[in-house]
Amino acid sequence: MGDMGNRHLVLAYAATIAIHLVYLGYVAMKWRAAKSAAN
Amino acid sequence: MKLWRWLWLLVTLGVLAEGFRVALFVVPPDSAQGNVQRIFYYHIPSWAGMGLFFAINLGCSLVYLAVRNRNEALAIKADSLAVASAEMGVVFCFIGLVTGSLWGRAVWGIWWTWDARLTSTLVLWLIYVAYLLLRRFAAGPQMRTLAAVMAIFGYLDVPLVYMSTRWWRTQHPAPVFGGAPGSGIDPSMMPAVWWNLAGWLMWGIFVASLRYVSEYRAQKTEQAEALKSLEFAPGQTQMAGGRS
Repeated sequence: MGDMGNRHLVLAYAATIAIHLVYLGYVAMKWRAAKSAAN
Repeated sequence: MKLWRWLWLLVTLGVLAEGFRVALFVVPPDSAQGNVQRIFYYHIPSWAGMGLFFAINLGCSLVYLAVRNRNEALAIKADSLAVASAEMGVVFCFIGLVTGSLWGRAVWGIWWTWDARLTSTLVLWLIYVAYLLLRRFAAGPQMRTLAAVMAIFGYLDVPLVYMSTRWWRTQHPAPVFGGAPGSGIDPSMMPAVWWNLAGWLMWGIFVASLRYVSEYRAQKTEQAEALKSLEFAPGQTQMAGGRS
């Protein structure tokens, strides 16, 4: 498992953070759109 | 953004950073799997987040169906929170599938297998993606009611996912927490579980609260515009109390 296991560990942590950040970007877009529509 | 949200974000990032440090550098590696077992500390919070946000979605859908004809203000709030929690649940579920697949590749030698746990989880994810697609592309006043009903039926898969490793023999391991006598992990590994569980749930609550506010604003704006267009529609005659 060794090196391959370490690579998968890094990928799993990176993927988790990346997916959350992508969704945060989508939420920020929705936030701005709703705010400008309300004004 | 309000001050308490910034404070919440600051504390959340601190907890996540500590969770990252404890998971990678403090707790010992697993005696059988080595370092790759540390995926567990990001895998478990994803399922906890999914369970929490799909349960909120179910609660909000029930509230929406109960009050939609009696209390419009509460119905809009419930429906907005239902959208926010469904999206957050889908994100957590997707992360659980991705981290599980990476872990499976390292430990089992395969990315995926059609056992009861993995299949029922994929179906659950697809049900909630369908729920969001319905909300995105369907129009008309019945859409929210249909979505709420769909959310209630969709949630029926959650207990199935949870019990799948207890009811059937699966490639996925038996439950670590709340499983058979002797299950669980070494107490020296628990700090990594607690820090990451707290950090990712706090993150989920933060992001879902932002999404809730934007959805609520959008629905209120939509409602105000609909009322305005009814009031000022050109060429329309007054229906009640008028002499036209």
